[in-house]
Amino acid sequence: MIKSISINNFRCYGNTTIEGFKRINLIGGLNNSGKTILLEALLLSCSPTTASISLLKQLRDNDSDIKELPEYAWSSFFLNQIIDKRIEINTIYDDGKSIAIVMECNEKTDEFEQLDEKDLEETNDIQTIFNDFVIDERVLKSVLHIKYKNRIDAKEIPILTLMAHKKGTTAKELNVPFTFATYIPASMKRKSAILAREYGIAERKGKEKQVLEALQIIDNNIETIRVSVIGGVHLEVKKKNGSFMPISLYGDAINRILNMILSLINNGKKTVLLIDEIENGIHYKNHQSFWRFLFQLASKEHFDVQIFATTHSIEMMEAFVKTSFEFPDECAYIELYYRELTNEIDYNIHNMSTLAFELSNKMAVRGEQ
Amino acid sequence: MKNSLIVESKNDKFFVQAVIKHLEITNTEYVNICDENYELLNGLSHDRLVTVLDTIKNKAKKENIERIGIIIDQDKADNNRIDFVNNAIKEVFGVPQLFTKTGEFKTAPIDSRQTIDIATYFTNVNNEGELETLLKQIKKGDSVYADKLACWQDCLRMERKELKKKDFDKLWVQLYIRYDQCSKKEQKQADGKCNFETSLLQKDIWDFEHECLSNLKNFLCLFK
Repeated sequence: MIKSISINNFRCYGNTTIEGFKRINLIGGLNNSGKTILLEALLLSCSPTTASISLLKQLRDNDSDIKELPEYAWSSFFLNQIIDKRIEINTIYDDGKSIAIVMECNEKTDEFEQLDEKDLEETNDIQTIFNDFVIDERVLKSVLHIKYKNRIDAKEIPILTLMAHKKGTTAKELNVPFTFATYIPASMKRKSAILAREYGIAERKGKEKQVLEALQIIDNNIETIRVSVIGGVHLEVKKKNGSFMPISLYGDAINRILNMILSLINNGKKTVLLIDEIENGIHYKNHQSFWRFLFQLASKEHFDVQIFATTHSIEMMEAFVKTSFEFPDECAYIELYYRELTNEIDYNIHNMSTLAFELSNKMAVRGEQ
Repeated sequence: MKNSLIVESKNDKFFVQAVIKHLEITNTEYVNICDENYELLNGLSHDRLVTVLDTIKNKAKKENIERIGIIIDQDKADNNRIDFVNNAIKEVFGVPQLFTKTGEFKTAPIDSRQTIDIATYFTNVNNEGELETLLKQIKKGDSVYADKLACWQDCLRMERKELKKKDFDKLWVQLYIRYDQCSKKEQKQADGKCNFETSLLQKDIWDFEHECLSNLKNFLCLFK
């Protein structure tokens, strides 16, 4: 499990180290205090892949600038958009393992000059781009280099190189066995076809009952889930005395809960689940049942998953605290805030007894003063 | 400079506010403790003191709190209050045996970049007692009704029953406030007119110049 993270020069983080993570971590703070960006840093540390970078660009709605302004394609990842100083994200695990990811942005294309015959044969585009752009220095481009920094000798090994240019991006990626992380953004709905596929995998593993139990937390009238192929592959849900209906006709909470639970079940042991604004769509009366279910499924005895979730909701926090006493020492609440003394984002880790006292006395625990 | 003051209860808070108000009027000493700076223990126990110190430590980083005061009752003379406070501070700040005496600041670390000064005082009259013991000493007006409680105590003893001194003092103060220092009209609205807050902050029925308050005043002046 991840115990701590150090984030340098990434988005709004200058130099912050957060220590004391547990299995289930709830993160609170004011708007723009770095909650979502903490999840992004964890994602890149666990899964420094093209898919992760694409997702983060898409979510911030700045993937369109890649073709229009390729020379600025990656600058939004850097503090104050200054690409001269590199990004470092260093995570330490409870077994002592340390993973350091370094990100730099420049116009160097060394990794692409080392394209082997296999790369060139498979994709004509790479051949064209290589000829047009790698050689011709007049063409606007920027290259994001993500490297793994070896903790023993500090040697930096390229694991992903992304070149942005007027035709899009070209990637050279190593297949490395990093911990797998899934990021569930605040407002993005997962496509029903993908959820259907994931449900099929869960069913194959014999875990369909847990999926149904998760949905029944928010609506105890739900009786059955099934995959339907009529009109395209999708999931359908049937309530008591009702008929099967596509999940797209239900509220967003169904989509989110399915996304969370299927990720938890299918991603494998010792993976990381990142959930932004976990309370979205879930009625406050269901918060405690939902947390209890997550705690149980994430435990070492079940799916052995570490969870990081952000929240704005006091009710979600209160339910989190109440549930925490059933699972001693399995969770932490991290409050993020801007600290004047250091001019950096800082944090408080609240133990559950103190947090219970603070909430019952209506104290400021979400970054406010 | 931001300060935080831990007291046992709301009544202790009103009392300290009254002493500070008196200091400001008579001595022009401005003590920097506002209403929102008080933290109430609502019951004295090790766990509760640890929790409240922990919340202040969390706040200190956000709000740049620089000093903490801890005011608790001495109660029995043989209570080792210094150890009681030191044990709680050790649990929260990691510093063992911070205090050897009261009334002076000692420094504890918040983290690698910030420290905080802490001082402690134990409410007492001749090294024992609590708030009500002190209030009984500094009463200003007539206390005919309250003083007759001693006769009731004598009657109880004849029946081999007795009220503990702590409970006796509490009852004495309640009788003094309600029956000796409230008018008949005020007694009809006792909840609002004959309570600790009103008696301490709105009425002139306590002698804040009494010598038994001098150590407390010196302590509070640490937070100028």
